[in-house]
Amino acid sequence: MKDYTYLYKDELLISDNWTEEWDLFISGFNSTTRVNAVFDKINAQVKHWLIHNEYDFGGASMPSGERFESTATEEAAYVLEYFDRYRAILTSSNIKICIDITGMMRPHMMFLINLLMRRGVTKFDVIYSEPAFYVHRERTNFSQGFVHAVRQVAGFEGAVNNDTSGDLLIIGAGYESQLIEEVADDKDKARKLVLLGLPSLRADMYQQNAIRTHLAGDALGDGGSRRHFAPASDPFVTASVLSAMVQRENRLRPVTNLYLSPLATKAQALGFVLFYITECAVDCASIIFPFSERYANETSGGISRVWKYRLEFPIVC
Amino acid sequence: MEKPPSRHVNPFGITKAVDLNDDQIQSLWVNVSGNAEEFAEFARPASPMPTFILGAKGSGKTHLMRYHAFELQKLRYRQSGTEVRKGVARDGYVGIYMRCSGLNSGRFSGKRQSEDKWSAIFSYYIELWLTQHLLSATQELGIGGDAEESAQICAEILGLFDKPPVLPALTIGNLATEIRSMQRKLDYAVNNCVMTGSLDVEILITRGQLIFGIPKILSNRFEFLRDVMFVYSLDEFENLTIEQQKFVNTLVREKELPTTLRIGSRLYGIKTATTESAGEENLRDSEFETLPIDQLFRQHKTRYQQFAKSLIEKRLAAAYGVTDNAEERANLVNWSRFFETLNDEWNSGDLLGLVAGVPSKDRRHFVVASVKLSDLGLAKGQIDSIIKLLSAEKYPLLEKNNLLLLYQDMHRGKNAIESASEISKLCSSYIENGARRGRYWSNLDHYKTDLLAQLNKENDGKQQYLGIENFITMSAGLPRALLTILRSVYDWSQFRGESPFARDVISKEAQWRGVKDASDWFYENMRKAGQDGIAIQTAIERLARLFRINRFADKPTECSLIAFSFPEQDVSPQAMHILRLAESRSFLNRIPGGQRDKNSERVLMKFQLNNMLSPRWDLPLGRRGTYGFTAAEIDIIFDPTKAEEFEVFLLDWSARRTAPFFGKQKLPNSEDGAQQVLL
Repeated sequence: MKDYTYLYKDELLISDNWTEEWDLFISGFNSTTRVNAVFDKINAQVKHWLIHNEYDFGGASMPSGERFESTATEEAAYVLEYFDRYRAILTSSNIKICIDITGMMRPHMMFLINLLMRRGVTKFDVIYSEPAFYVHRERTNFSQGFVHAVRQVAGFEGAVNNDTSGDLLIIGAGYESQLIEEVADDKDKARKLVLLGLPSLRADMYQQNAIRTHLAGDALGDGGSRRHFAPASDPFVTASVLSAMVQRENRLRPVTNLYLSPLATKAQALGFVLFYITECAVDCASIIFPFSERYANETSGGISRVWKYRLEFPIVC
Repeated sequence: MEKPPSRHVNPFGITKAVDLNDDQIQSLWVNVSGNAEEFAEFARPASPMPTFILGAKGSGKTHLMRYHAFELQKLRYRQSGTEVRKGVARDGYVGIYMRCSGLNSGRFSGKRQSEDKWSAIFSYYIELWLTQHLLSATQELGIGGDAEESAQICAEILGLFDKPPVLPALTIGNLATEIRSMQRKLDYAVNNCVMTGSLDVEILITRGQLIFGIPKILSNRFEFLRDVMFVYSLDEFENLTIEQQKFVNTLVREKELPTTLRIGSRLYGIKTATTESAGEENLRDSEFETLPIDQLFRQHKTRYQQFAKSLIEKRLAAAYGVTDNAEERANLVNWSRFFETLNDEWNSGDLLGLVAGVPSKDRRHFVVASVKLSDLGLAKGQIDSIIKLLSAEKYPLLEKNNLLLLYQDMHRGKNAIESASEISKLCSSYIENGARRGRYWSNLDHYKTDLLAQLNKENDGKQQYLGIENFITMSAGLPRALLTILRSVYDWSQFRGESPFARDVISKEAQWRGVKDASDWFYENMRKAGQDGIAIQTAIERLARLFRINRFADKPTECSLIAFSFPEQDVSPQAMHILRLAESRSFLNRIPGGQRDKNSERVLMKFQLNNMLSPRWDLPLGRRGTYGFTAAEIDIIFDPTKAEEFEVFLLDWSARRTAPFFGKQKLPNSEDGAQQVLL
């Protein structure tokens, strides 16, 4: 297994004066405090809001500042269009980039990071802000409307092993049992493991998470009871845990196709991305995601801790 | 049976075929073949006719398809000491099983490439994919071991390519490796075109050349394969897009002997019947057959009962270490001893127990009836007389029957006291001779389960869905549903400190709780996510509320009502859409043949609520009555936007079944007024 915990992780106190500066700051817009407070506070030459259609904003609630909007419905088309528009700045040498993933759609965030890495941006910072609470506690639904497809995320489509007898699905289980069920159903025949966020973002969130995961127990089958844990706010431990899980499963029975589905916090999703890019890119491995038509724009309240993670691809690749 | 080895081992813990390994698939297999023609397909996987194996989630498609896969064939040969080639020759088929979900079919679209390009690439991909499975089976059949033979076969196969690849040496192993390499390159090109923006793939094979051509080569060359069918079993067809299904349909249409296809799909999984052959549609019974598993199970009840019991016996045998010998097992399994039951005969002590110690006049049904008669304006003395006439102290079920007969008479405008007097005589006569004829018996026979349900409800008793026969009926042709019921019942029984299938009978309480849990599981598990899922559940909830009101009404219009018919052509597209979704998700089961309308002679569509849902609303398992809805009523029930109209309809539905006015305008509360109409 690989250990990713040597990578840098810092906590930024919202009450402090942030002195670090970046050339470009990219953030996915939604109306929560934890997204807007960080956007205002961060020091950057240029700041970009990514406006996601899935949040279904009306014009009135749009933020001021430089906004990127697109009619593209798929993550790859959306991010590639963003790259095309800001190619000059994004590919300038030694650019210092910071990305706030808190308000970003997971597939867009994953593809953006992969594309940055593939286009030679080798080192950048990622911000994730924890909420003080989710508005409907364990009943909080982040996705709205129906799941129209469970598919691989662009850029994370690995080769496919013709032998599917040892397929393995690892779900980073979040609050939405419906999404867990959709993913588990899609890979109905794979053995399944659940990765829960522990320690959770807040003390009560683990129980809430566990309750929702239990509701998807039937779809998860036997694997629903085999749970693994990684901190909800630490992508580096998450990547390390994934590495150990896959290694162990491979020992028990060779994994023919590996499917990863990060449905929990964005910080954990980042850990999935890190693990995938580092260890799985040439294997029969994919990241899959249940795509919904819309997402709730305001699901959390307040702001708790703000984390800054430094991704350094030349080191981890 | 002996006590199980561990308190925590639930013999029904695994309900999905996917969670079973090959050995378990083999050991838990129960043969359902028999004389009935419809079941023949179960036993003839070598049929050359392509077959769509259709069924709801949990109907047993995967178990069936995996059982006929080459991996399981080999296992059986090994167990019986049969040489593989001889076994295949005897079976008459080689099963090549694959899951469509393994293709990750979603990646063959979008990414700034044209649909035509994706269509060509997908068909090429499937060709490579299936060929790898085929070559793997070929090698396991011992073909290719001889170098000269291998070279000759390889040369023939390479001749099928439009542009043959170059192999380091002509062996089947090298060919398999090359095909795998071609697939990996294709994977890379498909997956990376999103980054590179281009998808330039050289397609080396015309559609079907390898997957139909290789079996021909093998069949012509080897005597033991002369009468053997190569069966491509594609499971999870629902995971393919419309365009991809069109391609598979084209393979079905163009298949060449000795090759055929079996396609497993959920009921809602067939998105199109069209092909790429000028857009023509495949015709059932011409290009393909269907095997609707759960529907066949529902139609052939006796066979399903036998199959289900064998299935359970196998589970118990595996868990309790009891012999796998069918005869010995049958001796050890005593169904009547496993489950606590209720004697629901009209004169049983169990029923009297429901009202134990309560005199007739104080029983809930008569207390409520007194109020209703009072509402009608009858004097207390008259009411007491009526209640006395309808009382049968030792037989509460007959008291319920008496009341129903009274309400039926009152609905027809008959004098209540005269009616009660006649009913009293009929009841006494029935108690005396128990004659199975006449109005009294007929009414009791028709409405018995509803009256029992009412008796249970009025006395805080739980509805009874007891015993293995009821569980099997409830599962409605879905073996996974049956296993889920038993899993829950077993868990509850253990929770209550019982030793299920061993020392103790499983209590009524454990059965009731297990059945309820399983019903809730079905309701939540079968639904589709999102807005359509909510619309289905809204419609089913409305339908169930209507049936429930009827079941517990003073005067149900239909007995054991869980079925309905309607004229399809007059129903709105929106309501029909939801109704079809509810059918495809198995919330509703279609009753083959429909129902002929008494007036117009038109054949109406007929459905029933899935039995698995009955306990959720305390509805019956058995279907007797059928309510004929109008098209407008179906619109109100199945169109999710018609919430207000439904509530109005519900009030009217309820009022028409409620004594003493049965939906007629309530008369002024005067004795004269009431008597004028009803006395």
